[in-house]
Amino acid sequence: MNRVVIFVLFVALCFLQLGVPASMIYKRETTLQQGELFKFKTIPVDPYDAFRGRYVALNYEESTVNGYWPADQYRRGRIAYAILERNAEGYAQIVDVHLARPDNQVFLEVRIRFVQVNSLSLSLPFDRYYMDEFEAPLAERAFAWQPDGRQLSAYAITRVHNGFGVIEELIVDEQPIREWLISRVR
Amino acid sequence: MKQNKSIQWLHDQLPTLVANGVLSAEAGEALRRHYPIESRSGMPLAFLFFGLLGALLIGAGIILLLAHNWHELGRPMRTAVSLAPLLLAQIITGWVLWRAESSTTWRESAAVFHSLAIAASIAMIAQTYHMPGSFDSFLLTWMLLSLPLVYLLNAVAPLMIYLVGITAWAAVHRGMGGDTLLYWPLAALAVPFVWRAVRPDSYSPRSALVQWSLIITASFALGIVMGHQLPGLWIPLYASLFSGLYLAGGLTASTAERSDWLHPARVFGAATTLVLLFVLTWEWPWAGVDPVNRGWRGDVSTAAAWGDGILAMVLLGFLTTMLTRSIRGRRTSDMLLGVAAPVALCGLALAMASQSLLATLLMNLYLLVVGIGLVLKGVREVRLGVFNTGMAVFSALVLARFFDSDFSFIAKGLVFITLGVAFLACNILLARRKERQP
Repeated sequence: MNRVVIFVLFVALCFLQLGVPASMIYKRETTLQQGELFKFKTIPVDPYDAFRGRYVALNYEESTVNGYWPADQYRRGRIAYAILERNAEGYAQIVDVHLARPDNQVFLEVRIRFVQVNSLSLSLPFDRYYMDEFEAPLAERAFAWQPDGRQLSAYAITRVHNGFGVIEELIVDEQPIREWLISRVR
Repeated sequence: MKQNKSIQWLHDQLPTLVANGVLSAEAGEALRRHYPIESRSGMPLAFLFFGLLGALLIGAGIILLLAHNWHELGRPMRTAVSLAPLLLAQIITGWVLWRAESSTTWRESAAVFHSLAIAASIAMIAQTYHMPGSFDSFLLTWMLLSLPLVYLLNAVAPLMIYLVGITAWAAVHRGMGGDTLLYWPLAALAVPFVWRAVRPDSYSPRSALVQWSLIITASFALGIVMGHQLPGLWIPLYASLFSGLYLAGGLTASTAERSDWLHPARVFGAATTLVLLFVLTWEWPWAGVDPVNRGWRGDVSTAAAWGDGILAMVLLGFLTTMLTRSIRGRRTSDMLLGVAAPVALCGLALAMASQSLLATLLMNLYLLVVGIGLVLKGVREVRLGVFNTGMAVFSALVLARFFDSDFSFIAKGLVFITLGVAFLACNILLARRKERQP
């Protein structure tokens, strides 16, 4: 092949290679700026990812929705749409799960994890919060063990826009997790 | 390589031969000219190795540095930093392409670094925005964005990354309950490159490397992608793949004696067929197929069943072609291992009719014939490697059946010693025979 042709193809490839991460950034920045704010109650635990580093995995109370869900339609691995509202305390609450994209409601695109007799387990699109490699295990340990035996509250501040959700901050004991961790270490 | 060593030896001997008057100075010089030492020595290969290792280490190092998660930098700065390795890699690759660099070291190293830089960038963005843990989609994006490098740079190393990457994708995706049929189109994307790399000179190290990567990853992928809907389907599929490769390797082999690793299909096919046959001499693979031992599972997915059907047809077609071509080419000695899949199919039929013990017996008999056949072939053609493989098969079979049953330690000990003595004696005899040959 001609050198110029190869080079032109290569430049096109470069744009594609930059375009993919750029679109990932764009989609999330738009959601963070224009999305509606929801607070999800959560519990952090610390695992590890070989490529992306350490994170605290987040288990959400809202990932299980009670009720009867026909197992032939609500199949494992299928995309579904969770209708979001806020409860009396101001936390996010999933009031219904649709299989078709809803029109006039605030919803979050989720994946069905499994169906049980009287509940539906969903995987929410913000299952992890990446932290500094040294801080993540500290955070998990500090959260699990309280000197006064008190139950700490933790929730994720998220932005939801057109069904797409991005996590903005992780709040522990009413402080962003890093600030809370620094105050605890002191 | 072997030839080069001999030529080196000849060059070392020439001065002595000339000095002792065995050869005239002119004859010595003529010999030196007739057998030149090829300049394709170890140096460029060492450069290539260290170039690749360097690119691999730097790329992996960048991934680890970014994985630390530099929280202090803030989101806009981290986003900029995450694109930096990719831009750097693009500049290096662009430079290599623009100069139309013919050096393999440059092309391969640039491609490896570029491939890892793509992974680093995507991973850091995923980290900055706390993206959910879909490792399979991360792998898929990475592999698709890096595949064009294989073609543009005509490089083998990123092809190996690609083949391993799509196999890992299939494994992870399957683990999460997904459908993995996409693996085949993904693998097909690499075929034009493989075709071009393997055809011109099938025995270059480059071609061998491509073949090894393809054969090994495809063998793993077969097990991952298979739908596992039909119990025991893996037995004829793997038997067809392995023995088909063995036959294909025999059909394309040149008569010149070369080192084993330059014959990937032949060596890999033979080794894996023997291991598979050995596994099938136990009763458990067949007992698992027996309808008595398994309740009928109702959840047959149509897509997976279709996938399995196509897979079975392609592999059986491949095997049939290889068998017919081998028979037409009168490669009768290849038939010993070549009929492994038909025999395994008979075993499967027996097991499905609740005769798993008969199936086990059939496989033991067949492997016994293979072992003895290889021993005889080794003796007839005076090939120590073939002979020893046959002996190993034979001994493994005897020992395995021996441990199954309740013989006393004395009996077991005597069998061990007899086999060992037979091994040694036959090897000594064969080695002597080989020495006596001109």
